[in-house]
Amino acid sequence: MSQVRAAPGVARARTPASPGRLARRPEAVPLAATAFAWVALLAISPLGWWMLRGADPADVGHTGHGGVFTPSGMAMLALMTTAMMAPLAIPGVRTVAFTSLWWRARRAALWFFAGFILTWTVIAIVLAPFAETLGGLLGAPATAAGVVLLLCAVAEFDPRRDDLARSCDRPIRLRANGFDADVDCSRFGILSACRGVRLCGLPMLAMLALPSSLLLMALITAVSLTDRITQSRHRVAVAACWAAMGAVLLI
Amino acid sequence: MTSVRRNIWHLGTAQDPWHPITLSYALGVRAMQQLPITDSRSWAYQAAIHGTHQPDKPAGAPWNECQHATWYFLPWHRMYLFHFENILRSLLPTQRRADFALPFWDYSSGAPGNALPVAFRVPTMPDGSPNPLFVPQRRAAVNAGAALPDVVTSTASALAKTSFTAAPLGGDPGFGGPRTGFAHQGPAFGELEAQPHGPIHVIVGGNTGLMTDPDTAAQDPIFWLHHANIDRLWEVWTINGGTNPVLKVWLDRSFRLRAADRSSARMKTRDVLDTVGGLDYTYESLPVRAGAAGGGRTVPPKKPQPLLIGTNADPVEVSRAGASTSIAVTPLPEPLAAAADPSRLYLNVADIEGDRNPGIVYGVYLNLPADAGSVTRADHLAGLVSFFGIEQTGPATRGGGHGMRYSFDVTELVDRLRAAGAWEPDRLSVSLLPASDELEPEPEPVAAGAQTPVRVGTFSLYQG
Repeated sequence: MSQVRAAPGVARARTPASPGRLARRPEAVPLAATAFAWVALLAISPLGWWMLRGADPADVGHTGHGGVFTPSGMAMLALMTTAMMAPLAIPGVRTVAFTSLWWRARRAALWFFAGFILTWTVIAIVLAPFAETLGGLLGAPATAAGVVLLLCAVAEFDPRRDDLARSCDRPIRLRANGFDADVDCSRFGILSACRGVRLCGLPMLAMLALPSSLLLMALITAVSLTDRITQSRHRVAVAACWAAMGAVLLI
Repeated sequence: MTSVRRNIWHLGTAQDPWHPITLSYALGVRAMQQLPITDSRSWAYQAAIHGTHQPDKPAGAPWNECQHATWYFLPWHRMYLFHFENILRSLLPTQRRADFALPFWDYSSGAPGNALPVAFRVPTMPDGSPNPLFVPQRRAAVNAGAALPDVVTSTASALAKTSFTAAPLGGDPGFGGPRTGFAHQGPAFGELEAQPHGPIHVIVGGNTGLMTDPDTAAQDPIFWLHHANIDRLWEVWTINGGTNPVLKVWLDRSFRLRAADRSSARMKTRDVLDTVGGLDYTYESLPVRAGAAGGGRTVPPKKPQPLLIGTNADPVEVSRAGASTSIAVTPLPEPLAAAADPSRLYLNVADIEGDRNPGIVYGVYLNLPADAGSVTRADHLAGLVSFFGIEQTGPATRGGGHGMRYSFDVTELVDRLRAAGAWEPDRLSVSLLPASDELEPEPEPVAAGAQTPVRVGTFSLYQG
């Protein structure tokens, strides 16, 4: 069988000796980030929620997001966003890695992932005050989260949902080398996150409405992931999950 | 009784093409054409299930649902043909129904079968009435009976595939297409869809013909015989040992169509895998199955993801004369490449976008000398691109578009080029040229100046 063998000296000096595992398993990047985020969230809970609220740890009843705009609050929000959204970056990470030259596949995956997560973190920062306002209007954060989850159930039947899901993973042409290629990879990550807002914005809002519940965050992540993996084939079941979670919170 | 779909070229003669089955097909097409589009059995409605330019559709109508560049390409079209055949049969006079089965057009059987069947070329029926099988919106040479070039009709590379599906990026395209969800225009073509399916559409349709655009293709009566042949080739592949996917996600995917009684019909992929037991039809002259039904090759082992080792620098616009570019290659390190043996090389033509199909089938050639004649060209041919479905690739199209990708296994070609001293390890040139000079060239479209040319973003070489 054919091999493409390098002529002596060709491209050897500027490329790594091996593509490494990440070149063929680029999903390791978002999976590792997800694992790290969950471990960190479990480790620092409940201190993290107080950091997010900008409150004194003793002020347990405080529900505001005033701390979102502090460095520690943003770090906490980035952690939560990574825990929830990183698994959804897997298709894009694979696309970027497999359409980049083998010796820069790892780098491409990292640039994409950085663009994707940073964009979602910004989206979360923007949504957090809305979530807080909603909680204030409805009387309690749990009520706000419940109402948003019921909206998630309704949104499952949006006739444009399939098209939106497909457009999330629509690839763009990536330039092959250098800074331009890095820019393209991160641009694709940003684009992919922005395209996903209409699908994942509501679950994100629900999570932000009740940020102190790790269980809720885990369930929202699991249902969102299931919806994406099954490509909305089981939308009735997914909608039922959203509705059940919402009903539990409202009751 | 199981109906037998027969080769149209075995029905009648060139002098008298109106065999009873061909005549029944024509009468059935005419009957469908006389129904209003609001009737789900009508010609226009059935064609719109494949695709239509009409912006508005009746509530609940399963229009624009053809599956292309996806592993559902073959099962969806089998379901589509099954219901179409039943509808057409139901509209025939009673005495014609029992013997009718949709014929197929085996264009890869050599002369005379590689020409458009005679009954589709004559403007009138035996009784002097207009022939519904004849449509002027085809390539003029094809309607005049020109033989289709062998390079376009060949099924060899498709039937040689061992796996049905594969990852959509870079490597072996598989026989049936990449794993996707519902995909009106998915990310990459399977081998059978890439050739002969797409090239036959475009070579028959030409610049402005019905067959060239998925949104009009099913309005041409030859469409259904072309797809019956594609369906037959799937059956040939499985009989010869090809293994269909066994994943539930593929087997349980269901699609909406319309039945002969106008009811909504849902079918799953698993419902159409046994044409005799499940759908009550077969094809004439199928090869004999070796061993028990369902036997054959075992599921091929999962291959590692091929890695991108070279790509072009800038996007390329493809004119009617073609285009060329070069790929800078950074080979895998020697120990890794050796360890990956037997590794394969794949040429990808990807990130293809355009507003309209130019009506030309292009050959993709590696390291083609500037003065190459048609004989030399064949020695450098990697595969064909027909751009069938390119209208669906833009971001503003239904489903958000998805670009378009072809993947060709060029392992043996590279071996031949290396043996002939026509291979450099760090650079190769890729040329797109019209695949055949045998058919008279089509005139430029009237509004050619305003037409956006096809753009190919990426030519790339994968190894793995």
